[in-house]
Amino acid sequence: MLLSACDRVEGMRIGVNYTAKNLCSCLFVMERDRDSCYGDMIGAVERIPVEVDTDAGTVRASIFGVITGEASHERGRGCSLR
Amino acid sequence: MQPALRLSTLLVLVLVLGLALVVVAVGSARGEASVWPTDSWPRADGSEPYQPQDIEAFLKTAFEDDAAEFFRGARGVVVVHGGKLVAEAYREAEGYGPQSRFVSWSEAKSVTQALTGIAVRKNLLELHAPAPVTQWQGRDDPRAAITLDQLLRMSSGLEWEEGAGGLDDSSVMLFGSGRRDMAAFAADKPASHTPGEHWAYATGTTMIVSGLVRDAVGGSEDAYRAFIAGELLEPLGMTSAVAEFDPAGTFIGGTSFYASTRDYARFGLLYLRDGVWNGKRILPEGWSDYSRSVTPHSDGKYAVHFWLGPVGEAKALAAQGLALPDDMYQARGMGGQFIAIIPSRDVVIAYNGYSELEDYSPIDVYFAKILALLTE
Repeated sequence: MLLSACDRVEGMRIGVNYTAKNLCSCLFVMERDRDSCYGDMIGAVERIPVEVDTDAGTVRASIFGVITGEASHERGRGCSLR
Repeated sequence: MQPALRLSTLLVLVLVLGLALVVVAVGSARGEASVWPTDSWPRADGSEPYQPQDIEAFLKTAFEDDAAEFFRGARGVVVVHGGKLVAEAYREAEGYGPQSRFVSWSEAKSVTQALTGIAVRKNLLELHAPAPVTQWQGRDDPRAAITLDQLLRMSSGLEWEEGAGGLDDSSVMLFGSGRRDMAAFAADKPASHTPGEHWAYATGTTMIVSGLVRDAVGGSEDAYRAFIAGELLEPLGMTSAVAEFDPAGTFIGGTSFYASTRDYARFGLLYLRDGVWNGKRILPEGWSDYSRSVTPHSDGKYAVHFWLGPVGEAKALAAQGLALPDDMYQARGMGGQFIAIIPSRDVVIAYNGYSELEDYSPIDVYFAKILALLTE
């Protein structure tokens, strides 16, 4: 039970980080629009709420507001997860 | 006096002419190799046995509605022959063009391989010696014997589960608990086979290699970035390229590199030209041949962070009257990213796209038809 709860948390963490990182790189490194970016991502992550700050170059994805993934872009260096 | 003078003048003239001829002959012998992309890229000049517009017209068939399903996500393709950019095409309707940056996914592994080669050339790493991975130096650690060559051949024998989703090791390394230090996460895996006796494709292995390059060139992200830019990207003029790093200062060399299709083609041209770029040696002598040398236990499909042969069955190609040369090797990435290097044909083809299909073999047909057109 405990292991499976850990796995679920890790699975959700992977989900938010995958979303934040890939969306960040697609928007700011490949300079594509959001719909086009989602077209290249696994379908399940479309339901994860995201906040995109275009000026700051950040993407934040979170599940229940608790498990959060945040990626930020730096020109010439791409995106990295916080 | 007069005839003697004329004779000596004639002799000098003959000598000068002879020298000039020798210079021209040497120049043309190197003619193919002397064409290089710099700020611009020399195009086909009409001396080819084919019409470049025919090649371009064929490339564009990938973007037509009746193309195989695999090509619905085709975005960019560049064909280089004799060092010249003979044709290219992009899915312009979706905004893609020569300046578009495309994600490498696993093509990055071949970029990491190049960085490793450069470090070997500079005597910063040793190919056939045990890899200096910190976690493996304990007493009686079976991993201490793993060489850099075995890592580059995906034959470390380390435990690893490679998958495209869920809780497999690559997902955990890239987005889960391993993300802060990917090289360490992969290196911490136990040995499950004797090094060199088992082939298993593992993104973690590339991260171990990338960690070794990081440490060899100074250990920090800034030092590693300076190495990548100064030793590879700037000499080749890959101005579009972006490399992403993890928080431990390691280039995410298994998956996270971005460049235009033209710049991926430049990368392929470096290998086609045996690691020399416009007179400057980048990769060690013989590195290209090493890069395409077959790895045991890989069913003949894998070399040294490059793939061998067609994606699908050669038989299936032959059934259509097509073939791909035996000496072709490729960098490949998820979704359909390819850099095909074909020394016997003096050709590089770079392709970027996105497909969710499992079967990428339509690319074999596409490449084989491009090669057939290049001879007509």
